[in-house]
Amino acid sequence: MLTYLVQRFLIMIPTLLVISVITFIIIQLPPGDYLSNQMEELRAQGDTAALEKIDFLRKEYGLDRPLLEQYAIWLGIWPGDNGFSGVLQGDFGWSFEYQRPVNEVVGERMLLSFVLNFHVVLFTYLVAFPIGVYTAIRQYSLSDYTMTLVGYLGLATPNFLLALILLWLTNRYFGVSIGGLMDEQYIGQPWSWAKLVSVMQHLAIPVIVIGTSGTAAMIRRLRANLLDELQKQYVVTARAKGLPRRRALIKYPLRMALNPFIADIGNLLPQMISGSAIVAVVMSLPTSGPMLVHALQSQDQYLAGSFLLFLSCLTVAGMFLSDVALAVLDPRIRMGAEAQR
Amino acid sequence: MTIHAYPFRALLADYGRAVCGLALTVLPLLTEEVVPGLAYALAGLASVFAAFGLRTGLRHAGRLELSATGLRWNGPLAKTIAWNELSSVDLRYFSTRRDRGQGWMQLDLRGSRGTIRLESTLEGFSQVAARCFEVARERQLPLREAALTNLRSLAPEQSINGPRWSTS
Repeated sequence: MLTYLVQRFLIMIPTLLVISVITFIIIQLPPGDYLSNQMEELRAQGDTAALEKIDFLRKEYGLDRPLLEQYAIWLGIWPGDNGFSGVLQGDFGWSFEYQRPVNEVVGERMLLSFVLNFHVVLFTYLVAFPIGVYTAIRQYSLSDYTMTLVGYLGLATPNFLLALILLWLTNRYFGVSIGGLMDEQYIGQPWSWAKLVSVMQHLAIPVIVIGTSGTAAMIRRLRANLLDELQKQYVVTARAKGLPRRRALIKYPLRMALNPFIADIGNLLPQMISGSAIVAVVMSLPTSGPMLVHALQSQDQYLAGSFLLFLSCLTVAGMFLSDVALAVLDPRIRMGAEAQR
Repeated sequence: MTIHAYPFRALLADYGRAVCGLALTVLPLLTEEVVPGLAYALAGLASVFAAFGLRTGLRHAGRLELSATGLRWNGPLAKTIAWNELSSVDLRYFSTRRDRGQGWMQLDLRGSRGTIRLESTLEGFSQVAARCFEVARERQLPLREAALTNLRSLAPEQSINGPRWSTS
């Protein structure tokens, strides 16, 4: 296992470095930058004081330096005007649009995104898991057909459409707006018990809206995987030898059917932060998804770059966790694969 | 009695991995004022690579003796497992590739006086693994389905029918 961990780490670290380079290049690819665009606007207005400030920021963040140097300063492996001050030192740069450090800008939104998407994942697993198992062991029953229909509906309905329908229905019949993640009086206020309660009250609808399609997809996949396993000879043998039905289900088939879901953990972590951007726009949710989209549009390079780097780190970390879990749960050679070391 | 060792080429690759890993994790720590969370993560990774390097050194200095009475790892941290003390045998397959190809196997042997872990880079690994499973069958030890599948892939001539529904 130690060899496995070492080999996975040795893949992970260069992968993260390459991702950070690619992220930085992608951010820089469009012509100009946020400050150039601002400078053009201010020049047109004749605001010379603001122009001096922009010039100061350009030097401060090394935007007048070569691309490679900018990258090294941003990562914190090359000294800038203020010494080493980059991602490694916890300084993600300055958001030109919000006029605040990136750390401050993303702080609360990251937290809200995490809370929302964590509940979405919890909802998905809690609802999909029992239904998926039940429909597999009761194949072709009335409940199986009903759940299958619901699953197809869930899969076929885009999340943002469901959000729009629910917004309209609640407004039309209950006279309330379900947009946002908290009551208006708590926006921008420090965290308190009342604010937390307000957030939890507003969570239900976004969680259902965002979680429906994932739940439906998970039900379908779990049912299909489990049906495949239940028809294998080892299950028939186990039943023939008198192993109780529940034990014959839980001991091996269910474990095998879960492998694809464990492999999916890698995708869950980044989803916790960036998932559901479109729904967040439609429902006015103050999560990080819309902020990332906006930062990319306005070329707020440090904000967008930090977001992308963070998401990449989460993806790589998630992949690592799922690979380790799979290596522990299913340490079996695939027939045809050769052990070469 | 047969003697088995890890070939130098395989050990060299492992030394290389340990050095690369240490370089990638320790060098960033040398820059100024690394944020604490990241510093702890890098230090944790560095300790894993250091442990790996140490283990490679131990393997470099040791030899495995397979005899009629049991297994003995000679060298630093020597261990012996007599066949009549063997309590558990497992054979696991690891691969870092998506298609699960080009991986390696790890043989875990537990006795009353310790554990011996061997990897498939060991010279004569399939011979050692086959002998251990033979003893496990004689002693009616529970064997995992995955371990038997791996053994069949490693040594097809060794058709071992262990208890299918094991407790592990």
